Amino acid sequence: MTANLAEMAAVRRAVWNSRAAHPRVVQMELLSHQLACQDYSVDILRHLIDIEQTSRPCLASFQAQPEINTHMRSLIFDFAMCCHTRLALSSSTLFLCFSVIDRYCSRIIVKSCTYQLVALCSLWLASKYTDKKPRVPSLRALQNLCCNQYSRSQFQEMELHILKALNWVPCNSPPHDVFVDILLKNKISSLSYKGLNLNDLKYGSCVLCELACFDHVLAFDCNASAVALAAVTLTTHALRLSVDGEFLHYSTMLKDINLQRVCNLILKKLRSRSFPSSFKLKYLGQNTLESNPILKSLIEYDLMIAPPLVPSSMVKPTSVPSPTTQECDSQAVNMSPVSYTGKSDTVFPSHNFRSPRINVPPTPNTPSTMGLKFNAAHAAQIATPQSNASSNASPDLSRSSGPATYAIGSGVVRPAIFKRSDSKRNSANMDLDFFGVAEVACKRPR
Amino acid sequence: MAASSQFKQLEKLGNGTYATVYKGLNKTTGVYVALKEVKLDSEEGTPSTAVREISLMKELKHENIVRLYDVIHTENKLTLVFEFMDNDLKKYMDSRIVGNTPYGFEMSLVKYFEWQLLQGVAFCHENRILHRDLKPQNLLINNKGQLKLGDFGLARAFGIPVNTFSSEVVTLWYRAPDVLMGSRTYSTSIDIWSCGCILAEMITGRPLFPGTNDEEQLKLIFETMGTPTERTWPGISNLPKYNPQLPQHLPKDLGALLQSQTREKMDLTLIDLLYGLLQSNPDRRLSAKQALNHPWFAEYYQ
Repeated sequence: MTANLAEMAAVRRAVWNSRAAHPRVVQMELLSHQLACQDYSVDILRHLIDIEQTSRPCLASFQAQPEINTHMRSLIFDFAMCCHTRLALSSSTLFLCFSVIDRYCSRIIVKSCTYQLVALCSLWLASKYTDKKPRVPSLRALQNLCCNQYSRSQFQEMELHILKALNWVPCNSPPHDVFVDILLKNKISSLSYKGLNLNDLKYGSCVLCELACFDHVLAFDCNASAVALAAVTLTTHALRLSVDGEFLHYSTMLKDINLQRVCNLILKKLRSRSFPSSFKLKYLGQNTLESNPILKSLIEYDLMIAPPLVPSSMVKPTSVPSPTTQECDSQAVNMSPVSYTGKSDTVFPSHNFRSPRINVPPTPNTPSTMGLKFNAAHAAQIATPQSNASSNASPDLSRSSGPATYAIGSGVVRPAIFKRSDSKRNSANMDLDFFGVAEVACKRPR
Repeated sequence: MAASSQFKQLEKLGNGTYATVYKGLNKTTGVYVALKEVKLDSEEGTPSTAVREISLMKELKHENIVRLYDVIHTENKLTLVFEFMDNDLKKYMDSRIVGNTPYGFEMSLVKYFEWQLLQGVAFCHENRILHRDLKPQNLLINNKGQLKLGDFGLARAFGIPVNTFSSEVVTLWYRAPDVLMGSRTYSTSIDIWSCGCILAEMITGRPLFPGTNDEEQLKLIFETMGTPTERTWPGISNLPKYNPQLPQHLPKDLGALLQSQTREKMDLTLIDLLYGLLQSNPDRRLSAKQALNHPWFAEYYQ
């Protein structure tokens, strides 16, 4: 009898779940939310920019750290992102986690052997703040992610230490994806978005933002809102190029010299091809770069901005306008001298394998393959609570941080419609293009 | 940072959603505080409710929101030090029951409380925070007649495309019909429905829709406000828990209904505001900002 009741309840829940995923319901709810937000959008943006100012990490403090450095930082971020992907947490959680790690390291001296614990606890806190309760990883899951390298009490102590060090508001820094959402929402009427899929724009922008987090200059020197604006601009141009074959240099839209610098730094990061392995886990799996149409678009766009080999026949896009020509602000006036409409497949034949094809081993998710170099004995002059987390981590440096398997094949450009498999009602995706609702409802997977 | 020895723990004030609240005395300043004790879980560390409540309340500094002064960590618990408030709206209303008959407040007090409630809610929404559990127990008042929102244990920040939240929010009596019918990406409008229910309750002294389960709650709402249809609420039939066999009710005269339960004079602008807050279709509900500009509040903003 009771088993029967439980079964019926489960059936009811399943029916509700499937009905809740109905495109019409989702569309209705998003519209209703948008309506409600309209009243507050200006206030909310102003508020976010205010708190962003007060929650910045400090590069000088980080560089003064005796034991950890920017190289370790990228390894730790890589580890955190792997964990994040495996736990299937929301995209805000990852950005928050990165921000918590950096801000903690701007205030507290961190031993190399506890850096990983800091990362896991940051992820824990970010998830508690952002994700739905059942999604928040359990302590056991976190311990497994680091091969039980740290004890339960170490986790709990570190969590509290982070809370205290960040004055109990570890999660008040606005994550990048929130700004991406606001930018896409506010600029949707602008012509440049016409014909582009909003989900693709969000996806590409978030990829670039994540990549930017790995770069310490971008992470410490630039506001999340600036990085988000640069990422949205670059993604728009890149998708435009893929869809229409129309090339536009980002500087025609962004007159602000600082934002141009941010764009340049992001593209440089993309160009380096030294993608963290967590990236491959999340976006490529076993496949090549080409299999991800949006990543491919971004890379093709970068090749137009900075061609690897410049054949004499090729027209180089006009360089960045000088800052003195700033009198015409922003995109309203982009009578661009640089609109360049070469079909991209004519521009780069398959000559550009700057990086050799390397088979990347499966993503590490444990400290033994993390490649962090743990020095055995440390003097105890350090302020972290984990003074007893000693040298039991294996000093394994064999991690391959080789370049991504990368191939641009025929160079045929096709419209990028990329769908994440987990996109069902995940806020990480702008589920529906709730601005041009009609055309999108049918594009949802399932 | 304060130390726990600085406070003397006095009588217990009540149990919050995930904690126990005591009255406390700051021994150095002689000021009363409310001490909310949160047990640290040996399994899950700091509860996510505490992480959210602390983060959000440290951010929200407004005269109609209870201030969080400090957080103290001792052994296996956190103590949140809040501004002390003399009473909550629920207890205050209960204190006015004579025999078995509840009495609402004088209209001027209803207006002053509702104005402060909406001020607090508007501030939350401007700071992209949903309270999600507005009810008389969570509205704290002091002897100066100030009203402040408290207990942000269920609150959370929302994004511009909203996250999917759990549907088990807001105590049943104050839960909006869209949430009752399984809508999950509800928004700021969820808090507004609660404000409407609370306004009616302050007028009459009784809860407006005292249901005992989801079905009864919807039934009570629709009996009074009318059963919504595809025409009045496009898309309603797609909601996960929509029941096509719902009995069709025509809307009742809310003004007359409430007037019969109070000796105070209900004017037409008040009834208009009530309808604005208690729209079944969330899209038609007023926002907190719009409600604050409603003519019923004219004496405050003129």
